[in-house]
Amino acid sequence: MFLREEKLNRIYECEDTLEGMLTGIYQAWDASYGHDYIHLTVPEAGGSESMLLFSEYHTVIPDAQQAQKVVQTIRKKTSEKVCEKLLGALYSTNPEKADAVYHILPEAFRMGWNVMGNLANPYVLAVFEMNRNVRHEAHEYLGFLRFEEQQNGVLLARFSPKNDLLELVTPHFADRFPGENFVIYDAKRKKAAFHQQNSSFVIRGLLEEELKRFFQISPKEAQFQAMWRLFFETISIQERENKELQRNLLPYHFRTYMTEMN
Amino acid sequence: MAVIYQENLGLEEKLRILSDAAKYDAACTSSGVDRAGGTGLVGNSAACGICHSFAADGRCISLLKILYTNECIYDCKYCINRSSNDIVRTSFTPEEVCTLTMEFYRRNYIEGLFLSSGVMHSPNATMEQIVRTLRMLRETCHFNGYIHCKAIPGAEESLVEMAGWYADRMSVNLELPTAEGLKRLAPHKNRKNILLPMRKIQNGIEESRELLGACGGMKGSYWHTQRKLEGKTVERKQDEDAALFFREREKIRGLDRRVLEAAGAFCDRENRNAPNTSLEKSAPGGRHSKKLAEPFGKPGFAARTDTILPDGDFHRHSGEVDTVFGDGISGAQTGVGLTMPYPATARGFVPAGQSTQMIIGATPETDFEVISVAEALYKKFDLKRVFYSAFVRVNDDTSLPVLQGGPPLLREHRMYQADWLLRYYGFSAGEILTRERPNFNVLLDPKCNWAIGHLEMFPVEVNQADYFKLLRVPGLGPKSARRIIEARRSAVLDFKDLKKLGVVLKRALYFITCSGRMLYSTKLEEDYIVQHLLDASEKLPAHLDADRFTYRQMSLFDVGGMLENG
Repeated sequence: MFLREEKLNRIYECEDTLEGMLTGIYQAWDASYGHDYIHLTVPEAGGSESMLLFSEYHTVIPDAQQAQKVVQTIRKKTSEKVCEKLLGALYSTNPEKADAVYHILPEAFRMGWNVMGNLANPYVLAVFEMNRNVRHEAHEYLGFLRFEEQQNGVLLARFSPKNDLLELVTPHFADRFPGENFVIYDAKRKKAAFHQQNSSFVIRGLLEEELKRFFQISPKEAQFQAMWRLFFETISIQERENKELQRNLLPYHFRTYMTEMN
Repeated sequence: MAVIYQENLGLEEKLRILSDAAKYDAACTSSGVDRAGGTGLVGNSAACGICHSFAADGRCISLLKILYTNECIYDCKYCINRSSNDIVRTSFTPEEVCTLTMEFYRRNYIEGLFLSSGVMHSPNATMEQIVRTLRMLRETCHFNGYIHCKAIPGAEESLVEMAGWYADRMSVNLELPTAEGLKRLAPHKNRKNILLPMRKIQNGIEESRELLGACGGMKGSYWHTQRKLEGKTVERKQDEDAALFFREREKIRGLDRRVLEAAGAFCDRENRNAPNTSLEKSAPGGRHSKKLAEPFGKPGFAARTDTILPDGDFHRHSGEVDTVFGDGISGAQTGVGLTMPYPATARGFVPAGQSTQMIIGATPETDFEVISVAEALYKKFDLKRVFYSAFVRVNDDTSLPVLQGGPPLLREHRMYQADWLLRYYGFSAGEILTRERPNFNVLLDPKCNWAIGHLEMFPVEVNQADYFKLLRVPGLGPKSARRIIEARRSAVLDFKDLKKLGVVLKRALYFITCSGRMLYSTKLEEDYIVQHLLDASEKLPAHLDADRFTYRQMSLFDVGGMLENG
């Protein structure tokens, strides 16, 4: 028997942004190194920090063009819907997300629009679950997010979602409140979406201290918060009280910034 | 009768009184219509509905649920606002409702407004206030979010119709499942007055849908499930509906009163509106008439007068409408056609459809009677939802039952389970319960109950059975059934795959095969399966999961007895 020389695993370390991960996927695919030897990690999302033996590491520098190409290819070879699901998975908090999306691609290009139906495939299942988790949490926050009016009239909402939801929830509020200046602050990732009246929104980093310096609650705010708490109390039917059901439907981690819970 | 009427309460105190008075209405969904926002508008709407919070009773808070007033001329025995109750009475003004709605909405507390009301002075006077409020909200505040409002039975048609142009969903509460129950507990109300506005709204929705297409609103899940069962496309079934509707419209309008008066008509077995396929080609409306709707979308039409009309004059002013719907379509016009308010809107007429509510447990109806009524409402009145509200004894009245153990929550839960079987699973009321077995099984959910009574339909082969066959398997739902159908295109499914697809195997395993094999060597026998299903125990919502129901201690003999007697 000959000793077969082991091929080194190649590990791509991506930035935890859509652009960073898509660039990683592009470069990994472009290398034609063999899918089985390729892994993508996202260190910022808690991906394996300890180095693995028999592996070579590549640090991926985000590249808008390469990222764009990946999206276009997925869209062309599968469908808009599938593309949406793969991108959705990339907002997940799961450090394996980029790896799963990378490894679903051969199957996706083979099966096209139908690929997400094949849940028997482990990568399809992984992407399916990540996307579902992300979309579900995003949907919950569409309801659970609370805005507070500031002295300058700006509406400020704070949340700390498990998944990276800022880009997913902001368009909903931009559509809902086109005439408002509002800020949605992700306290976990220290960044915020800024929406300007009758305009679009931008997302950029923002520190807690900056937030505190710029924003002070308006005098009218306390009055409406009190009325909302009052409504919240009276609308419940005493004979049916059930805190356990309430907790199942509105788990504690959502309540941190909810007006009626504080 | 001591009515303490408080004119000068603060907004906060009014909110406390009028939300407290509104909370017994079960409906609080914000679903049924997708509407994007726009420049100059406040709000949008998502068809899936959005829950904004959950109250201490575990019920979802989605809308600002309030009464316009808790004054009421009626004396319904079950209602906290009955005229003989000695409570503080107050009313909002339209401005106050608008302030609360807009300020709550922009803080993302709510999805919109749910405006109900006691009947103040007369049904017309009350409906007028509701319409004034809605109009102010839509036209002065440019509110584009969700509005659910009540149609007050007995109010003039033109007022109900006007509200329909501003609201997304309307509801008329059936209150009690049967006319006799209503007579006993709500002596001032009658069934006919409740069903007439319901029919009126249904006709309006149908006309609006024909004219505005998708803008006129989407069909409900019951309709879609029936459509799939009949194997028809959306277009085909809509054309059939349109043909029926336009041919029958005058007849329906003329006959309404008589038909509804005949008590049997509501619950009868034979389907008066049975689809007749030969009609489909002769549809005078259909999508071909959509061009008629175009003028309303034109910008010039949107010249608006934001002033609210003076008190008392409002409904007579609905004559200021520019356009009469329907005239140009049906040719001969006998009834009152839909009239568009001025200025015209692109929202459509009651686009999220209508719903209703029944109180469960205040009167002695059987469960079979209740779900038969629900089925008739879905079938004949095209309702989006029927809500069931476990009776809460808020008044001390000798004609009200005293229920041990509080509101009948398990019964309410079973009712909703059956409602889902009607709307999403293609079951009929007669399959879920029968005259001989008219009440739900306490121990088994309605679907398991059906399955163990129909073992000849099982086992079902997961790799071959069609969608509706799969749906009838306990432990499978619309989502997992759809996933199975998709997944088996590319692979032969085994039990371990089913688990990944979201199938509840501990319930399904007695009823399915994968490639001809069962998971374990289980017996297809009623007693055997019941015993095991009870051991696996149903996952009830938290409020029902207490030790109140002792599944496990029950011996097989007792269980058999329970099933016999229902």
